[in-house]
Amino acid sequence: MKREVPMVLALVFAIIRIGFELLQPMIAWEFAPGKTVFSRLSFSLTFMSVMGLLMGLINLSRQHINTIRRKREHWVYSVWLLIVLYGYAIIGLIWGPDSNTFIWIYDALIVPLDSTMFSMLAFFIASAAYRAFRIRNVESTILLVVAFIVMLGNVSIGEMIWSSEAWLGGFKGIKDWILSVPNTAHARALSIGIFLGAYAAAIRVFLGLDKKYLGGTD
Amino acid sequence: MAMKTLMLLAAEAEAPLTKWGIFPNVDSAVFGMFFGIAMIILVYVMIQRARAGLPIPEIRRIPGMEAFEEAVGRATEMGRPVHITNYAEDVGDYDTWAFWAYLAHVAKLCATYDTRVINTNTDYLTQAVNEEIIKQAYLEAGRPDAFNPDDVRYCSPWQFGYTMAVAGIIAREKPAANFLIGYFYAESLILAEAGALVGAIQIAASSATAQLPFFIAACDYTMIGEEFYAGAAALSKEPVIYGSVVAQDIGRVAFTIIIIIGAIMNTFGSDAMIRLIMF
Repeated sequence: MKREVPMVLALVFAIIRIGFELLQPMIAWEFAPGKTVFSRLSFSLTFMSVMGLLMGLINLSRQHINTIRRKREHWVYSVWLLIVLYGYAIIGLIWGPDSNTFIWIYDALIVPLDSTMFSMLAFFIASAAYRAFRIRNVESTILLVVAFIVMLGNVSIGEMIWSSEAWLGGFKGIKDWILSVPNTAHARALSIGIFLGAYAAAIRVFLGLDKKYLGGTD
Repeated sequence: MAMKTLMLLAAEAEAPLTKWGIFPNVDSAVFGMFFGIAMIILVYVMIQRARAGLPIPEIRRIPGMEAFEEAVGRATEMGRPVHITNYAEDVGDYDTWAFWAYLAHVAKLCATYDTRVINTNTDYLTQAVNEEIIKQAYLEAGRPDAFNPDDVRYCSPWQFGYTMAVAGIIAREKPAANFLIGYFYAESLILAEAGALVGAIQIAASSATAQLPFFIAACDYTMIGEEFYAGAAALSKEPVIYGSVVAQDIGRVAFTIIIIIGAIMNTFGSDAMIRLIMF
């Protein structure tokens, strides 16, 4: 019973959702003035998300309180995390999300921290590219050559070496061809496979064949 | 003049609200419905064939799948934990459903080998389900007492907040195996490089085409595109589930045939196939 009820619910809600998203009479049907089934489903999802947020808050608090209580390594960071977590929430609750303090904390701390983390990508791309582009076999050699051409096609020094007005459109012309022909062809082939894979995965769950979401490895 | 008036009237006329009276007037509404029905029938037929013991086409081995046990075994030998994460999707997404198959498998391996498994999350509902899946895996392995709820961690709903937290966890806990499975965005390479820096064996599986080059560059094994979903099905080792993967492959062959026929027809000036698909 513990496993059957969620499976039946998954199937029923899948049918409801498919019906109310794909069939126009069902999309437009209002069970009360201005209230469609789809709008109610969206509302229930929002409600679940809010409840889930509380669960996330409890999990995060429990985990870091345990770290502080047991004086694990770097426990001071856990204290700081709890101060920031509840402090920011309290500021938002008291003065509102449109208050200057709330917005200032967002603009002065979260935005620069976000940008800092994002900027690290540049260095990680360099280190990953170094490992990937080492010539080991034919495939990695092709990868290196193609990457080199695409890089030159994107920077001004490439334009200086082989102008886009010259034969074949220079590095830029070759780069454009690589990106728009072989790259697009492969990406689309991959997308078709992903679409079909996702479709089959969804059907498995709807038909109750894939029950991993209920726990267990069977 | 009359023709011009008619054309102007046609341009001003509102587009029909529905196709065939029941389907919304959006691209591929009818084709999509029939395609969906065909896929369901195909999956059902293949599953029935598998159940009846009738021959169904073999599916090829995926190298990344073979490496799961090796990665967890290595972590066990080194006495270091295993880290597994899925960034972008919530409980209602098929990427998350596929991820759960991997999570259950990895958690069971870890429970059997007595190795810590750390799961980091960005979605609070997914985290709750993940916790249950890992707990159940420990129960099945006969070691429920070894399950540590503190190792199923909710980090942040914020993309780079989550990234910072996970990169920090990887740097501190030094997992010997790092599984990046699911849908990822710009954080993919940061997480993969954080794993590479601590010398973890890394297995990625993703349907995010934009992130696949990063995973291929930074990870030891990468399952690309539909391999991610097929791998999730193959983990169950049930012929019934294999049937759905075979159906998926037949669908791909059908798509290829449609593309070839459509390309030939378009070359000769007919757009009938495009109109059929867009209907």
